Amino acid sequence: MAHRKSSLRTAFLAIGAIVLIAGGCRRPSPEPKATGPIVLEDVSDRVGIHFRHTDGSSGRRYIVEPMSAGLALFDYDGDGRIDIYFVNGAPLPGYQSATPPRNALYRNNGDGTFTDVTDRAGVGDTGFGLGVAVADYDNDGHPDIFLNNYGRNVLYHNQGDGTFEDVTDVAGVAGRDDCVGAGAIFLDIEGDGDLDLYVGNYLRFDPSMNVERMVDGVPHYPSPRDYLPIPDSLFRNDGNGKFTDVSEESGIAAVAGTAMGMTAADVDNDGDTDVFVLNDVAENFLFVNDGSGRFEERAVEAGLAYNAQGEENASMGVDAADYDHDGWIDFYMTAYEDELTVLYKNLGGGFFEDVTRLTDAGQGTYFHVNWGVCWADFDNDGNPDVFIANGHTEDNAELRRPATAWRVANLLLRNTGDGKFVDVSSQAGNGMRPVFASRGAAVADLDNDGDPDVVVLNSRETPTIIRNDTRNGNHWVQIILEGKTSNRDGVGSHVKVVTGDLVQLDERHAGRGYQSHWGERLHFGLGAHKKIDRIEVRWLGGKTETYYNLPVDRFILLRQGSSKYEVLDLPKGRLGR
Amino acid sequence: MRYVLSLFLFRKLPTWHLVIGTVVFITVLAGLVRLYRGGRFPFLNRVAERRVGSSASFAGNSRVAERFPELPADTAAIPRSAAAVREEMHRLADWLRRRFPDAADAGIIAGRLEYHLGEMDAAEDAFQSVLRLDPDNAHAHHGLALIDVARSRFEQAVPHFRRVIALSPGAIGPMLELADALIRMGRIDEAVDLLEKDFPSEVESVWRAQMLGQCYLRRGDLRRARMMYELALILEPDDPVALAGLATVFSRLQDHQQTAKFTERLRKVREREREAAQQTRKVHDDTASFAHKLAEAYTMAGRLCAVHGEGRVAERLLHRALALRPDNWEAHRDLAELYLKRTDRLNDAIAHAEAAAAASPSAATSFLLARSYRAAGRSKEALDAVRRALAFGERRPEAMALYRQLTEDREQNAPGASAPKLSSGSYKRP
Repeated sequence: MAHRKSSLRTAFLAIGAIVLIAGGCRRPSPEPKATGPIVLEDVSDRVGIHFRHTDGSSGRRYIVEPMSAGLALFDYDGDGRIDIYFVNGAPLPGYQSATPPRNALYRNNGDGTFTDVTDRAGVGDTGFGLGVAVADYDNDGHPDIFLNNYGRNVLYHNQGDGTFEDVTDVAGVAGRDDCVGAGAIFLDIEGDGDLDLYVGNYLRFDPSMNVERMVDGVPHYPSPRDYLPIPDSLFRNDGNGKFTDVSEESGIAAVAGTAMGMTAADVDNDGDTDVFVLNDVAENFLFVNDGSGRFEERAVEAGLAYNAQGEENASMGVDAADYDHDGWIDFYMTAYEDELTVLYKNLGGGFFEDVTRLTDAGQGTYFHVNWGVCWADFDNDGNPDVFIANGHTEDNAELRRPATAWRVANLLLRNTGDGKFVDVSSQAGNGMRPVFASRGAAVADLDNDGDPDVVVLNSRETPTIIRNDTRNGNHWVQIILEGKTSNRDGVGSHVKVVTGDLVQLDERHAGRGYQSHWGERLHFGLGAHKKIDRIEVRWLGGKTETYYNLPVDRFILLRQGSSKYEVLDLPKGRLGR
Repeated sequence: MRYVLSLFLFRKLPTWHLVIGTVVFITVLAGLVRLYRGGRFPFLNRVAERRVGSSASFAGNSRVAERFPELPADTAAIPRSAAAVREEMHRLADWLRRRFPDAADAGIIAGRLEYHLGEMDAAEDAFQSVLRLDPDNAHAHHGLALIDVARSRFEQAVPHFRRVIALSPGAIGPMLELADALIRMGRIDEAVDLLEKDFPSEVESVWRAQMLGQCYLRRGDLRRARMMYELALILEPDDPVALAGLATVFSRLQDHQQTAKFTERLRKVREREREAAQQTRKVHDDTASFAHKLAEAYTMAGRLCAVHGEGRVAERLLHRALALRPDNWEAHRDLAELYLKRTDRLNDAIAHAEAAAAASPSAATSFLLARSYRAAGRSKEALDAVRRALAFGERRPEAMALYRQLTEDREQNAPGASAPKLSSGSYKRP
């Protein structure tokens, strides 16, 4: 009997050992599956934000009205909490308002609420705002703000004491008065360690040039095709607080377009920063950098100028991410009603392919005009999802097309990790229910709880603030870069996070989506992985540095030239009372 | 009024006089209201349009407010003319449904009107109703397919397109539309089969060549993609899709010179397009072209009434079609056909046949003109017209017969005169 028991025990032990060995030998899942739904909560009325956007309209339908505006999420005062800057329109002829509209900066109090600090900070520009980009252009450790307006643009220099100074004229970036702005981006075009400025130009306009249009018997805003396209502007940072217009010599001014959203990214992995510019009802531009700050427009050759059908889109906003973990930055682009959004997969070698249909990445986008777009891993499963802000240009869209409306709900596409996207908007909580004419959208961890929250600017309305309440036990890491020979923000640097077989790539941007800015902390979802094997940072204009065995669920500061990383103890916060 | 009442009270007039008078009064008042709502009083229109900013002053906006209470308060008002067209479209669709509840063609016209109005649910219901009456109605299947495409429901559009192609084997448009839907779904192999094997080889289509170019490009077959884009350029030398496709093909072949060449050509084409757009769209109001869609619907409705023996109604509808679009040759043609049946309107028949032939010169319109002249006894002009009809190269038996008849008449009336020669030698006189 004892012998029999001993045999059984041996057998159990052997089976146990086999199971353990087999388990130990099994390669970790390369793409951990999400373990629950994405849950987004609308907390707009619980955060103390009373900003209301205006487009300056009075029924005259000037083309600039529906294009406004973007927003920026960044930590302006260095307190470890992400603050919000809203861009606003301004009165156009015919518009009347008791209080003149202006931009607004809201400080994150950390207790779930925000305080309007616009006056104190001195950033309440009253120009007709469209795009915004934020970066530390003078490498002094404080983020500065550039506003791309219809009319005079504005550069606010952050003085490090919670206030800003308008240095536009000194810097020489005011632009033309009759120029309607668009997105803007900071980037280091020649890798010299200071950030240059790319300014998108939509078109030239003054109210006397207004074109009255009627479509299907209903008044309609003019088309950008009613106006002449114009080249964008590129300003080189001279390193002394001044910028020089190098649009001509850099090759940017060689082509004219109708710029909307844009972003900078190293599309060909050659170590420099290229620029992808969306144009409204025209082919897009891909400015390929030769590394010295000279650009060649190669969108047609790259397959980024048009969609798969060879059609020009009314392109709106664009964001960049390596959604399929192949080591190449891909683009997701929003577009107009009756057009699908476009997911451009980077094939490598400088070529892209429209894979929208193959990946189902255009679900729910066809009927609506789509604007802001953000790649963000909402469920921390290691696969970036897509948030899209919707809303029509036409406030009477319902009259012409009952399938759409001026105000519509936004959209959330979940990346399943196997090359497909699923529209989960209706199952993602009440954060996806607000119905507005949304424009810019931006994502950031506003409450420092490890997942991205969302802020959406709504035309003619108050903004939508969405708290991410997804709870699935997945891990994450947020990385803050600090350049030394590279620009201090690390803009343009590539960060690779390796956890088992899951290799994620992201790039630090300053200006993206629809005329907006976010992403000063690079957020990576890690799924079930409990440690990070290594992080590689390819500093722009510098070497690649590698950090090993890093903890998860932390904010990590990586300094250029330092072999050690620093875990930051950022204050835990709340979002919404 | 007091006089009328006194007549009634003192029984100077019988009661039924008052009843009839009241009915007449209400009818006239209702008519005036309808005319006002339909935008028929230009003076009132001008008064309303002067009050810009007051949405309520514009035609249709009260109705708009009822239908879309959620619209923002500062929504721009709709000018009376455009609102009137939209309302008239609704009225025509409703009227057709009431008048011909069991006629498939009425459902097709109503469905198309609703499609133009962007009311896809109503249009879909209309086409589905037609299919219940006539499951093999190609127009209804086509309408449903287009609605599915407009809704980005390509999977559902495919069976409808296939049905249209089966029911109308010669229809090129639905075949191309089906291929486009297949490509948009990523079903490249099916699209290639359709365009290479099923598409009639004698038909030259730029769209087909573009789509095949895209398919081969996606398959990585750069040689065939290039061939197809080059074919598109032969058919349409400045086709931007083909130019972009060739630039992409050569870019992938690393042929930088050719890439630059086609990119530059494409850029110039786009610049020309933009310049043209600048010139033509300084003030863009498509109300007129929108009204043309209504005119088309009136024409079809008029034909439907004519088929159902309702000549007077058909006449009214066709005249409305002409009011909306004076160069509507189909309305002229149908009116000419209507008037040809009435001996007292032969001059009108000739006038409309002349207008149809002028707006759309063809064998059919010339033949119609010849018939009109002959009916009015104007043989010489009839002979000229039938010659013009035959000059288009179509040898319609009825045209040949008319020609024969007219020449014989002429020979009888003018002995010794030689018969005129035909423009083509293919016709042998009996």
